Amino acid sequence: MKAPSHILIAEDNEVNQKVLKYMLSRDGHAFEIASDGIEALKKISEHRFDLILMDCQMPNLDGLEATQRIRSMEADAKTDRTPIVALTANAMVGDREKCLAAGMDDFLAKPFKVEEIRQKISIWIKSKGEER
Amino acid sequence: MKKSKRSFRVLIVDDCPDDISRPYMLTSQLGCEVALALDGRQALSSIITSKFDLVILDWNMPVMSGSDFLLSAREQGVGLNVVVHSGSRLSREELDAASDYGVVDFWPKPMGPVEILKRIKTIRERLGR
Repeated sequence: MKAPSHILIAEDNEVNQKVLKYMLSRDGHAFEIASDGIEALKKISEHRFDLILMDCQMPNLDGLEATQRIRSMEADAKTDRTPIVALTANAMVGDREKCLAAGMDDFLAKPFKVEEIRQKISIWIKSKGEER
Repeated sequence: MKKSKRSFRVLIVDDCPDDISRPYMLTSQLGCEVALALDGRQALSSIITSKFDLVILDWNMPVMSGSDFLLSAREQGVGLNVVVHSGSRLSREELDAASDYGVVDFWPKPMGPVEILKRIKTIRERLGR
């Protein structure tokens, strides 16, 4: 039996939070919720996560900016790079590139299906496990 | 004094967070108690363990589709009031089967908030809730 993975949901939309919470708990993952980029940074400084699901458009500090800060925090502390999957509201041309340029690893454009998030989670948590 | 009523319980079954969002917000705003299921199988276990006044059901879902869910619910002997919330048109046979299985309304996706509110109110009136 593999250990439950610890996932951070950075998402300001309450319904999306509920859906993700419901899905992750059904799938046996442990998780924390952050409602904006600032809260996400705070959670990341307190806990280690196996994966971050990051909404790009959040109040206070958006997902792109939060990711840049996380990457520089990781570089300063010389810690492992946590995979970040972007959740974006609209797949505009160039959005994917913006996310990757900000330091995100993968990208999911809305409207997505729960199964697609599951796939991303299994890809990123698995590939992380294989590196060890 | 007004007699306090049990809240109107709604189960939303859909595998797309964006499609859950609007009915979720609106039914919550109307004071309904709202639960979620992300596929037909989860929905089936929810309706077996608790009672719902209304199920808002997506048709095309992985694991167990909307039509298989209705079939299984009937096999379990669970009576339901169901709204089919679907992005695709249903075939004549599916429509016929659906109305036998407690389907009270069809909502094509995407449906605007005003229309959803109106339809929920109509369904509640019809159900006497």
